[in-house]
Amino acid sequence: MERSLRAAIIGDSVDALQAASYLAGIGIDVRFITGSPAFAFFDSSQADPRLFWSTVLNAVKNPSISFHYNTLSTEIKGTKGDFHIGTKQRLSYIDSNLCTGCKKCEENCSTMLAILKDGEKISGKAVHKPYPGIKSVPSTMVIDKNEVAPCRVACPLGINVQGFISLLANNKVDEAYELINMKAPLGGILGRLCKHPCEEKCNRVKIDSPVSIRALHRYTYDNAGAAGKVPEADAIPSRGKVAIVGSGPAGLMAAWELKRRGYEPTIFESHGTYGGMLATGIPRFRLSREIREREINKIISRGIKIRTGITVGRDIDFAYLRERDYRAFFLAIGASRNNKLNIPGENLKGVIDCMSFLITLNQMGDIFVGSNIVIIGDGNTAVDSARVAIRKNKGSVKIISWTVPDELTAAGDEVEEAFEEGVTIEYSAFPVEILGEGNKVVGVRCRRTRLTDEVMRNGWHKPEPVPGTDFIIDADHVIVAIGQSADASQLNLEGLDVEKKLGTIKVNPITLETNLSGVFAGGDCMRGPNNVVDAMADGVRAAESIDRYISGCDMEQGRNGEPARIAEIDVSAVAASPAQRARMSYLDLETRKNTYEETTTGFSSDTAREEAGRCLSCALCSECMECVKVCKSNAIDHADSVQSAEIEADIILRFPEGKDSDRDSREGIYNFNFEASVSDGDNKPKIMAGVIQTILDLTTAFPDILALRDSHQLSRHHQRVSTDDAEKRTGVFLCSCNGENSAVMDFERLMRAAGSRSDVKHTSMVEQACSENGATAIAERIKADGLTHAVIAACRCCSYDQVCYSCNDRRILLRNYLTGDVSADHNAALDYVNIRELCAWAHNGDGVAATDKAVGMLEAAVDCVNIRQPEDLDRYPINPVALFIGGSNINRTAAMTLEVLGYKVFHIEPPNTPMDSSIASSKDHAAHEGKSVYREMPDSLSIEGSPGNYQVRLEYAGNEDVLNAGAIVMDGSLPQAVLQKISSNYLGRLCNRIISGTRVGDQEREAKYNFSKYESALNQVGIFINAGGAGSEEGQGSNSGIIAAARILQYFRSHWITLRHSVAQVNAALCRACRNCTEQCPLIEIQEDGNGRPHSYVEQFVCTGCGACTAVCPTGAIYINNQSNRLLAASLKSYLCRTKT
Amino acid sequence: MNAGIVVFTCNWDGWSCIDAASSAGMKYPASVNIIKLTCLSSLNAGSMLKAFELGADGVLLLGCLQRQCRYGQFSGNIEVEITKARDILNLLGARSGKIKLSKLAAFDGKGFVEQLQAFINELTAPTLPVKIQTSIEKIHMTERKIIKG
Amino acid sequence: MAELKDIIRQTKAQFCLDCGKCTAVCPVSRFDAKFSPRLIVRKALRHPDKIYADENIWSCIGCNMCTVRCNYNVSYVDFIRYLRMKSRENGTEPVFSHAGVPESFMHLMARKETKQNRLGWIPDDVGIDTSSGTAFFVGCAPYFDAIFQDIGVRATDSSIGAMRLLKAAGISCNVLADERCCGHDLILSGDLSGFLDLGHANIEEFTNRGIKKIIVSCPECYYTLKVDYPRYFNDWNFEVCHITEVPEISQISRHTDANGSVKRKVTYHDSCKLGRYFKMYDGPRNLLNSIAGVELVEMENNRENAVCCGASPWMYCGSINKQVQDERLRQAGSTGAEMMVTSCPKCQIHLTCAQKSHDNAAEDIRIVDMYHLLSQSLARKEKD
Repeated sequence: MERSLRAAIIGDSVDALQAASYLAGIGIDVRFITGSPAFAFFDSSQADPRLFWSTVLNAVKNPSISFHYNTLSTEIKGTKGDFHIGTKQRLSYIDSNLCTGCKKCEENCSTMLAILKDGEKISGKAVHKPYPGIKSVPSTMVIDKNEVAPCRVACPLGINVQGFISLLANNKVDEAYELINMKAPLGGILGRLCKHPCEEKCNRVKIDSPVSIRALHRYTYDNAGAAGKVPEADAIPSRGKVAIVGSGPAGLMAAWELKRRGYEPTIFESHGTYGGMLATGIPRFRLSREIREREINKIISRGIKIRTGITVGRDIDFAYLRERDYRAFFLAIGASRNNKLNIPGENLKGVIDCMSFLITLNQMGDIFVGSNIVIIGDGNTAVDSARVAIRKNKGSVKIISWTVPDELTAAGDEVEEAFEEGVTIEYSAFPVEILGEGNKVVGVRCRRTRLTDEVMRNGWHKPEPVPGTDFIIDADHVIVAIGQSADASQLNLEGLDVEKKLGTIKVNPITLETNLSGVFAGGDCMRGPNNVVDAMADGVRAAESIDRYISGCDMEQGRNGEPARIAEIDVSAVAASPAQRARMSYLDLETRKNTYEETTTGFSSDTAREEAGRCLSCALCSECMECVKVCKSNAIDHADSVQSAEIEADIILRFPEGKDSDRDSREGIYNFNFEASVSDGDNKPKIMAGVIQTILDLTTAFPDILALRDSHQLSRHHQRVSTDDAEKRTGVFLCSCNGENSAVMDFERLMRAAGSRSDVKHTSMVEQACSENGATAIAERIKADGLTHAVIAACRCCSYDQVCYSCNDRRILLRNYLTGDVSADHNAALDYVNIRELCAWAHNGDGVAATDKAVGMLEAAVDCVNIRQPEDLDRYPINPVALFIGGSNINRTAAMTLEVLGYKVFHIEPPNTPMDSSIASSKDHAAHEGKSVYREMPDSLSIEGSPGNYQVRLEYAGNEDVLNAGAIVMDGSLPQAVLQKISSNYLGRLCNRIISGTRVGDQEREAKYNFSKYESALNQVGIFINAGGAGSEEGQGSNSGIIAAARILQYFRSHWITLRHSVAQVNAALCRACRNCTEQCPLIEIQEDGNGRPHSYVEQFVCTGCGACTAVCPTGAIYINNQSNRLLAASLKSYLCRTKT
Repeated sequence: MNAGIVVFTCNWDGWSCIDAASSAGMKYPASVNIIKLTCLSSLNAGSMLKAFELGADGVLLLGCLQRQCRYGQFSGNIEVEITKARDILNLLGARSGKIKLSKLAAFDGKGFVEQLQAFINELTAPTLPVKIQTSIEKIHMTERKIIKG
Repeated sequence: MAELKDIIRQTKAQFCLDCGKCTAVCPVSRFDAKFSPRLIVRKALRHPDKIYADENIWSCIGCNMCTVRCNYNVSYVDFIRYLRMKSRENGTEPVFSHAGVPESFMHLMARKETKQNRLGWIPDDVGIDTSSGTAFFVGCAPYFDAIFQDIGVRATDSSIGAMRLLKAAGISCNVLADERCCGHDLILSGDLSGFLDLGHANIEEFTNRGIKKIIVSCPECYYTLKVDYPRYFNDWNFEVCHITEVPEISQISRHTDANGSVKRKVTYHDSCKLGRYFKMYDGPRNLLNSIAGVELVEMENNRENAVCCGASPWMYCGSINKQVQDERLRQAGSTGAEMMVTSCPKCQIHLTCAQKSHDNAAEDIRIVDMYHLLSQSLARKEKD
């Protein structure tokens, strides 16, 4: 088995984490699956917060544990050695490996979510810390989402409605403009004419009335800085020419989209002005010319050719265009043929179709306008005509509608305006004849109608005339506005398939391709008379089809996917803004009647913001993309959709919550659940016992398990501080933490303060020292400038290897990157100052003070670097052989376990030590395999050599024997008589002392050498002392034996003993051997140098670095490198001498 | 007043309090100079006096609660050293600065800020120097009795 | 500060013949091959640029053995003292003993605004005469007490003893509430500015209190006030005398009678300052002899050959010093005396410290301060 063993751990308890750390510690590849988004530090719920937290941090710091947060295991397939764990992931849309938790995204998030929780209003941004206000690891952010907002789904153009609304709520008009413009231009037009299907779907109706989205759309396009600006033509190399027939909404959009996709569209327009219906059919008081031209020019100016006054099919034909390399065609000629009433009197003078009427007036042409006008038809055009007419004739204008008020085709608010302006409507009237005198109109004979059950295409009931209900309406001028229909015939396009009755062009509804390949159609000429937004949507859809057509892709694939899941919300749970729907204000009636100018005036910025504030943020995150803009580490991916993954593992350790959980007792799956596991604090022993058991099982499954790859060294970096002060070259690196630090503090000043020092050879700023890039940049710089020291001002506070409770994953990463695999190939000594929490956060109110403090800390750090004593953090290999002294059952079981795992073991036992049968048999077995060697207890035993590599000298009457072992395992319960034999000279090697220190009964010694509190330190140098007593009888202590074995295994698998920072060192010349230090710490002993001069000796590999010895040393002979008196004095100087000045 | 205060803190619970306070953005004067040690038991009277020599007005020592020390240092080194430093300061006159030892539970940011503020108030309060009886004087008191008797 | 060449002239360093007599007698050289007075001078003359960075200039304990032996009596100690000043100027930081506590309190004391509170130790039975123009100069004893409680030396016992003697001799004198450290250790460790600050403060205090005459018991204070102050302060015009020189003191001692008290073997340790610097060998011995029942025995090295207590100005006090001290203790031990009497609180401190240490020589000999001893014998006499 080449690869290393893979273990999956499912759970998130302290126990699970400890197991993970342990497995990783012995070189197993751990995949940690937890449902929580992060590990939070709760003061209350954890029995021992410090234990929990340090366990978390120790696991997090271990590179061979990969964490799968927010992940639930759904099913476990496969068998021992080849498990496949199906997982479902709750998406957070932020990569926790990249996110530094700088909170920039939260600051810039435009979506403020406010919910009601039992009457309380709780509000927060859509992107936030997983546990707001509570320390958690990893320090990543998460984004809350909820499907897709209904408004966005409803929009034919797919505009991110909630997005731009939330931006407006934050007064970010330009950003809103950009966001809309990504989907569709012509906002000025849509903001006025769109039939706003979004508003119909707005969830706000469940509270009061919908957000007036269209008005906000208009507001954006009237007020954004970019609104007036005409964009440059973007010079994308052309992917081919496309001909677009018709410059209406559909044509324009198609051109815009095609241009975006790199094509070279040309629009052919038969009229003199472009815009189609926008230019011809919409009266100026609804869409002023300025707005229209402004919006359309923004499209044209991007480099779209437009030929006006050319009617394709009459002036030029398709063959001609094909010859000119037009590779596809989009027909968007609209529906301009007026429907006829087909009743008597229709040809009388004074009867005119609304289109001619509107066009002429729109173009300020002169035309007859009666004083008593009747308009037949109740669509938008009818109402428009009426309103134009009343402005002209100042007399009576009456609309004849064949249906009832509720089923009027025209948009409600325009009818309202019309009424206000004096237009009247005759409902349920069906014109049967236009009466005339001579060829002059005098009236219209109508017949009353009643609604039938028949439902028409627009979803309303078809009215039918009731015989014998005729009546006459006087009129001197009749405008026929019963709609238009498409007329494809003018195209003279051979074989184009057309809907006979309606005259619309037939297309494939998904691709909008006509029966002729390469020819597409959309807008009114395909739908029949319809509205702007749908036409524009057709343009976009057609453009995509044309793109696919020209680049030869599948035309339909993935285009009729299942409809987006619409966000459902419980409006009662939302703390909604109390504001009522805002209405745009109108010009006062008189001015309005007499002007052709726009009758509505847009929102004021206050109104706009308040109206936007009414949005309920149905989809939670509005995807306004502001966070993406500010995230320097590109950690955010709104499109993330990987929701299920398969995690492979050889073994699985489950840590279900609670006592009785569904145990999954398949082979290779191990269930751990301890009653009250939290309350009794440290479960480590139990965990280790369990875990080692799993490994024992596995050795049978994978005999070569011990070919496991080297377990990760946390630090591959050996720090060497140059001895010669002259050589010291210090560099200072300032981490802006994505601008968070630099926002509070004056980084210029920090740079100057550091840079101005003669002893600082390099100063620079990094954006994220804790990111791989940041670290690499620093490492590069260090190498380039040959720096011997680097002071890194970021979020890390120390250069120690130990992880204290205050640490967090970013601080750990920062160090791991710079000293671990990523960029350790530099040789500089690193020092860290925390300017993030300590300055930027603690004093964010007071930039000057924060900067002062930071400068002080920086200078102190640099000063200290200059007087740092040389240190050399080297590491020593461990000889994976265990030597057991004494044969208690604990020792025996431990030894046996190690043998099974394939390690060589020495047993040194007093003659005829009792031994229970099981072990006896295994003894012979192991001995037979040569894995274990038995020796009688010698007359004297002494231990020499270096940590991890001990030579144990056994002296028997006459001959002597030396055994080499990396681990010495003591049976604490050995009888005095036996222990006497172990050399226990006070001046002897540390382990002799320790072992003799385990002697029981001797009060004075017990007091002096109570090593229990140094146990973990001793284990690090391979000295293990198994409790006596328990396990001395038959059958007992097997569990403790396994635990002992687990500890030894962990030690062996770490392969190296690495010297830690901040351990005590002795300057022998200064030592008076006064014994103060040895009184403090049993790990210190007095040794003699070559000339027999006594001095203290500290075994640095076991020193825990508390420094108690340094406090009591009268001469300063014993010191801890990075906190020696001189260092403290130096930092004090740089601090206080600044504060005072 | 901008009292020059030096905080010697142990790397464990003491530091965790400062870190907690800072992370929570709790307000405390930026003029305090924080120096981190592995354990308070490594601090000697010399470093405390050094602080005063260099112009500090007060020295605050931040450590773990009794029995919480990660290194099992309950022997009270620090108390001995504090007494030494205080005796010296007292000989030099009460105006020469104050030393305060606070032992806090892990992550007690609030506690740190309160202790610090209290200390600052104590230092800045315009009180007359109260004459503390130092351990040396105690020795001499007893001696006088001997001589008299 | 003076130039190296001036100092060479002042200390007659240019006469050094490299003969090696100094090395032969130097207690430090005996244990530290790298160090020797003449070597320092030679290095200084050959490589004046390197000398200030040379660690060895910190090893000298200033016992003056070398100068006494030197045919041209080159004053090596002054020379080295100068080198240290320059070295400190260049920013060298020596390793201070006791975590720099003495250094710190000396600097704090030197401050003008300091208002000390240092008289707490004075017992009620010895009053002080604030009107007197004579001052008893205490020195740092009260401060030492604060630091050295753990080794069980109480330096103020010495001062108390001295004051009792003065009282018994009918000499009323003042003890100054704001007396400063004399600065001996600062200047010896090369901290000139610190020394000057202390000196100025002292002179101001003496003047304000109308002091004309200063009686000193501590040999180092005595040397500093007697020799260094006139050298460094133009406005110095005070009479300084050592307590053993005060005639009345020898008077009282003559009155103590020897009837019926047990014989006690005592050996006297000459402090370098009283001894080699001031040749005051007999004064102290006479005083001791005058104590009832005291039998004074001499150590192998005594008077101008006396081995130094290994003292150092509270810096670099390492294994070399320890060995010097051990040697002295062994000599004391081998006299079979029950007491080793010192006339200098620092001798007492250093020797006791060494005695307390690991593998200590002469475990059982008591190291006692002379003035304390004398005053106790007075007390006994008064009882009878």
